Amino acid sequence: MSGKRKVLMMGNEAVARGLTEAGCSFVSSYPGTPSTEITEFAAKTVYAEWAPNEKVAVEAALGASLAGARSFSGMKHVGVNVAADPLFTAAYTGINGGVVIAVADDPGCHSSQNEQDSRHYAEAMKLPMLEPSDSQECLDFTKTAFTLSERFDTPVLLRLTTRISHSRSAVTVGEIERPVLREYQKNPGKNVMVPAAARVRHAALEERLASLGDFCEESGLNRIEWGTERKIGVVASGISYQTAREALGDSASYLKLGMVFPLPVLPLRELAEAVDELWVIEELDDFIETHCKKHGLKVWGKADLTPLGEYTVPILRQAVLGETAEESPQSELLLNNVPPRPPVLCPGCPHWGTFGVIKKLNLTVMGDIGCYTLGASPPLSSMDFCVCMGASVSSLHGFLKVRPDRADKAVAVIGDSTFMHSGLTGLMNIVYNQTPATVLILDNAITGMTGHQQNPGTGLTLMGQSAPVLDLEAVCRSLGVKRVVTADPRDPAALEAALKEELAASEPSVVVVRRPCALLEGSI
Amino acid sequence: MINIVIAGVGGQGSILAAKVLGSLYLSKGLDVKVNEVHGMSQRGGSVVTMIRAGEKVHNPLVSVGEADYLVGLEIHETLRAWPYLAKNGKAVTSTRVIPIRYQPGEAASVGIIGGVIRIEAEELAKKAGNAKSENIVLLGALSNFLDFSGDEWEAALRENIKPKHIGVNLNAFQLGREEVPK
Repeated sequence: MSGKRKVLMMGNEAVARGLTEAGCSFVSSYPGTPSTEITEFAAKTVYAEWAPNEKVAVEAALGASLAGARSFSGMKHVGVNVAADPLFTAAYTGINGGVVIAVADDPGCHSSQNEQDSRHYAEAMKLPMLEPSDSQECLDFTKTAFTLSERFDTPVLLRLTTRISHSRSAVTVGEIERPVLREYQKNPGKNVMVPAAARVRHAALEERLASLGDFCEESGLNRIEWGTERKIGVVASGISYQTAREALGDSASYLKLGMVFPLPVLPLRELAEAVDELWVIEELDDFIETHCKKHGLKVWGKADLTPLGEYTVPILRQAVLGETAEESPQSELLLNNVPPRPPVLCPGCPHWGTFGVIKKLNLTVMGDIGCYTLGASPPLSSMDFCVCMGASVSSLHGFLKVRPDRADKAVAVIGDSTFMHSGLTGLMNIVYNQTPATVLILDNAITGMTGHQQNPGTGLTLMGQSAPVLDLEAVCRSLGVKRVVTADPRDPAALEAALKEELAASEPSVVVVRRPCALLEGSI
Repeated sequence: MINIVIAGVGGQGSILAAKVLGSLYLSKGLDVKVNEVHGMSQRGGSVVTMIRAGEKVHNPLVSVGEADYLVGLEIHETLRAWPYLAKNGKAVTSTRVIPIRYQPGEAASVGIIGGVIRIEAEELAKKAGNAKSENIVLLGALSNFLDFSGDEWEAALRENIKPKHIGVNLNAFQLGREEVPK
């Protein structure tokens, strides 16, 4: 491969290339839009695997780091909620081989249940966070993140957003570094976080944070781009920097932040003193703005800009310059005339059969995260609750504990991959704390919504090697569920009969509704 | 700056069409950004893909009223994306209709907008050898308005399409290219 030729690369692919160039030798992730492709691309050149969930993935990466490898885990924003536990304390232990954790936020909720701003995690965990603004920076910052990880003895967070992860831009690739294992030495004072050691490591963490604070003041990751005028100054990072740059052009001056935690003060002051008005342009929360205000800087930001969704060039031009985009009457006519086309279950999808029966029986449905969340949309409109991975099973238990009369009218609906991710403990709870709940595991033999990833139930690994197939029925029985039956969504009469019987039963039951994804069967 | 919007339904191949356009502009030495839609929002829903090329491209998104070209893979989606088209922009659309189910409102007719070039892309794709090559038929139609040679188009198609599918797609491109009078 020619070293200098520019190629178009998706942000996620560029992160994967960065992992390879940095000599990373262990990747473990759970799929989640918009982060999934990082791990899929990485698997072409680096050892990579799908873990059952993000917590397992991060812990595996920490183990690989302890053993001396540069290691990585990538996830969507809500995945960090699952992986938060090991990450908060990995900030105390630090690392051996460099650790980089990519977190892809989804402003605008393109494929997510919330719009959480993961930058708060960096501050709460006290972990440094870098934020690239195009594919070249995705590659470069991934490599820089490994360097910083080893220099400062800390995991490093790499924050992406949908438009960075899923946009293609020009990338010049670099040389690939051969993976090297650092020596492993037992060091319980640093790595075994019992209280006495944790107190000591907390002090080390605060010292490290102070050093990182000094580093970010001088780092080339943050740079001022002086404009032709000194009227408007902008502080921004990631996609917001690109949108601001386009909206406000070369006359404005920019403090382009590549590191969003810790945040610098000196370049902020320098810019603030040079311009008439200083704007902080950041999608979602007022993370940078709060920092500026804490340091006594007068800035404009969320007073004029929404914390909701993505920013566009017209939104920024209106807020900062007071310009209103002209509306074409034809546009309005068209928008009112074209019916919306939201995502729907594919034709031939086995979930149609399952939800057909659920709708017919008019059940209360605790839903979960996956393709079957589309059962909430018309014409099925069969979902009462959906918040996060695994919540269907555990919330059904709570619902039935206080409304036992609904036990024959309510179900949990969860996919195979989601059940393995975080449904098991909820089912254990149903057995232990005893509600006669009925849980439907929709086993379509793949992780569907994120684009067909392998999982412990599919018999294949991410890298295409055969693996033992998890026996869902046996797992449920081993958790203490005595009534475990299997049904086919293509046979609605039998599914209905099975469902009625299990709903009427006075003890916990699981119905495994099994039929491979229609796309997998190649039937459409 | 060149701004192109491709509108279609998830699974129609708008990402491939966008990659081909991206390669073309990159090979001319321009800066390029392509914005794609993945994941849940792609599952049978509306998909808008954007290609921007110029000396320096910052934001990957095309603003309303800014697109020089609109390529529609389906009638409703062409209409939905119409506001992106600049006043002097050109639009090429497939006549394909993919019904919208379970939603309020009536299907709009492409008749309410003027100046759009209609291509029987599904027919031409079948003629080329694969109904799924509609996206490339439309690129062929679009090619009449863009300043690239046939060889440059072929190179970009070969760069982005697997060898076993390239024959059908080169046919599809040619059929689409011949469909629009120069």
